[in-house]
Amino acid sequence: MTANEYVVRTKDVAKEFTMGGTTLRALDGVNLDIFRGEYVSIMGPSGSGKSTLFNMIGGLDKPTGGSVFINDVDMAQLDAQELAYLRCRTIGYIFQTFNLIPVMTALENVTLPTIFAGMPTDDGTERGIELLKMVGLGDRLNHKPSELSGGQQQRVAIARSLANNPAIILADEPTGNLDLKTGKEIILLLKELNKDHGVTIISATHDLKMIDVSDRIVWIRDGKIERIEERSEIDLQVGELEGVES
Amino acid sequence: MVADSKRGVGRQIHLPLGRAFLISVKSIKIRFWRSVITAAGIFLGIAFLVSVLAQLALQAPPVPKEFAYPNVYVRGMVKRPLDKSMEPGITAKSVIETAGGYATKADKRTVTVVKKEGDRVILDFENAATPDTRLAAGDLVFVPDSGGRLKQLIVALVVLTAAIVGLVLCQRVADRKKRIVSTTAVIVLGIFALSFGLTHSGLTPPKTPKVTVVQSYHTRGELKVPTDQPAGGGVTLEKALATSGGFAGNADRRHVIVIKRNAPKKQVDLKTAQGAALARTLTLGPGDLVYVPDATARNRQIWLVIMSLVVCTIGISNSMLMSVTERFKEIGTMKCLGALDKFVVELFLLEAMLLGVGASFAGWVVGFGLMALLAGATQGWGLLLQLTMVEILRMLGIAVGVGTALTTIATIAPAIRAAQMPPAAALRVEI
Ligand SMILES: Nc1ncnc2c1ncn2[C@@H]1O[C@H](COP(=O)(O)OP(=O)(O)OP(=O)(O)O)[C@@H](O)[C@H]1O
Ligand SMILES: [Mg+2]
Repeated sequence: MTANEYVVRTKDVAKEFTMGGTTLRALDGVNLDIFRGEYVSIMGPSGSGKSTLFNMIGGLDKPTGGSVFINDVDMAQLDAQELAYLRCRTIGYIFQTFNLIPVMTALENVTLPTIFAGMPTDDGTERGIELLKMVGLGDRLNHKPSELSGGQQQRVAIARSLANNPAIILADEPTGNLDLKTGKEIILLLKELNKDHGVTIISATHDLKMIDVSDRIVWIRDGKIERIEERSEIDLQVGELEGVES
Repeated sequence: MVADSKRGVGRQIHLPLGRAFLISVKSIKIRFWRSVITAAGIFLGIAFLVSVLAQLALQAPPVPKEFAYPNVYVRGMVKRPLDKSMEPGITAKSVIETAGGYATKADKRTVTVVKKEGDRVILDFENAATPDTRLAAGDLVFVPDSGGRLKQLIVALVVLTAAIVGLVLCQRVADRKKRIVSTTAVIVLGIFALSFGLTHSGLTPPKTPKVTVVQSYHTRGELKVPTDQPAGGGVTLEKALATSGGFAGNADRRHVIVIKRNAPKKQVDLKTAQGAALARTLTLGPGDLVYVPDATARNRQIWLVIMSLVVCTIGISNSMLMSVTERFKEIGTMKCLGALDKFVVELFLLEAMLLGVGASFAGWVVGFGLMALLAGATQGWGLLLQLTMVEILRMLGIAVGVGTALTTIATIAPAIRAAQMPPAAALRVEI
């Protein structure tokens, strides 16, 4: 096995928050290796540290202990410009709250990362249209987020995360604000990207539907990895869950 | 393979300033009304500041007008209405003779003499016993039209008939709004026509003509005896001040203003040797004005300028702090998408500068415009001629300079703070 196979590795990652004298350990020594092209779901109860781990892996916050490696590069070694480069081209982010820029149209939102990547405006627009068509919003290019449904907004966010062809898509509860059916559509879209484009998908979620498409499920509790399951191990359980759901 | 091309670590390029500029312009445009509200904070502060500055520039009173009545005037039903230059011994009867005598329709029983002061004397020259009256310069003799009453009656009848016809027609207009508008128009027109007809039927004397003469220089403000003196013979500023009894207790000697009729406004500091020397050589011509401001008023005005600067600073920093804070989440998002801290700060600074320049300019237009309108309307539009181009441009410079500088400075701190936050923290900010 070569190092090349790991796209993300975390080594004893810890994160403490200090508020008014009390210290809260949100992450407590997380060791997680993720293969290139994998679809990994991070599951766990509310407050277990999923979003915190998402922020550490995505370089959106700094761990207070341990290291995160992206493509075998220690993120702590990167300066601001290298970190921005990484966020711009290597990782695409999807949030539960979509985080679209409210005053911009769908197309402008999707084009934004191409601007930061220094792509000429025309190419960026072309890329944006292509991506929005791909997520099924070819007829909503000039709609503002407020004029789109939750599912449509999340599709725009997915299109945006793909703008600069990232190797990794990090998603924090991408279906958290969506209904069952829309959530399923988003999950299938992510799976498609994973299968057809080889994008590594790491998704924090509460959504049991996600288990269906994941290669591995990482269960965390109180900031620690409780267990990691291969999909083959849990097929049976999902069958049961789906039975309960319908 | 997509993934493999992403292996190398690179350095994010810094986008050219032009790109940031375009994005800032667009950003102002797409949140237009929000930008207007932010700009309103800057605008109000600067408008206040400029109005105080304009008030300072317009503190001297208007140059007094000098009128003269060198003539007596004959109007109305005489053969040749005329202006006759005043000579001693002119009487009402003699001046009517000079005007060629009464016209055929003259009403000799109510010959009116309008005195210079505005009093009226009515004389019955039909009656031979009525004594004649001596005239003074500025008096006007008016001979009414004997057919005036009839004329008034006809005018009244014609106007009233026309108005009634008009009103009836108006009531036929179907649309309610149009009906109200046309009815009002007919009434207003009717009243106008009636009053015009009644006053122009030869029964009321016209206004006495005035002739403007400019022959004095004027001293105003904090002087013991502000005066208007004949300006012949090259009176110096020093002499003029002495003639006015010297400075009063509150005089601000450092900012004596000299408004020459045909030259730019001058400010002389009489506390310096240079200023004193200038006062000995500067001569005053007819129509020139010397104004000595009140020192305590000046202190009040300086205080006002300081206050308006404080208002500006608070208003602007509040506006800018709000407009940056409410976009923390957007900043976090942009950083997730690959924006450099420097770029975020640059974006906000450019936006602030654009807003600052635009809003300060608008503040200058409105602050200056309002003050000029107010001063012009209350003290006469001639006052505005005292403003020099340099003063107006200096106010513009101060407005745009102060507005843009304050806006930019107020933006730097929150923008840098937001840009330096880890994106995760910026994204958590809810407002
Ligand atoms: N910025 C912060 N400051 C202080 N405490 C924080 C901060 N972010 C997270 N925490 C704490 O860290 C713990 C883990 O939070 P985290 O958001 O990672 O949970 P989560 O698993 O994403 O939960 P959920 O499923 O509800 O989103 C929580 O106890 C939370 O209160
Ligand atoms: Mg969370």
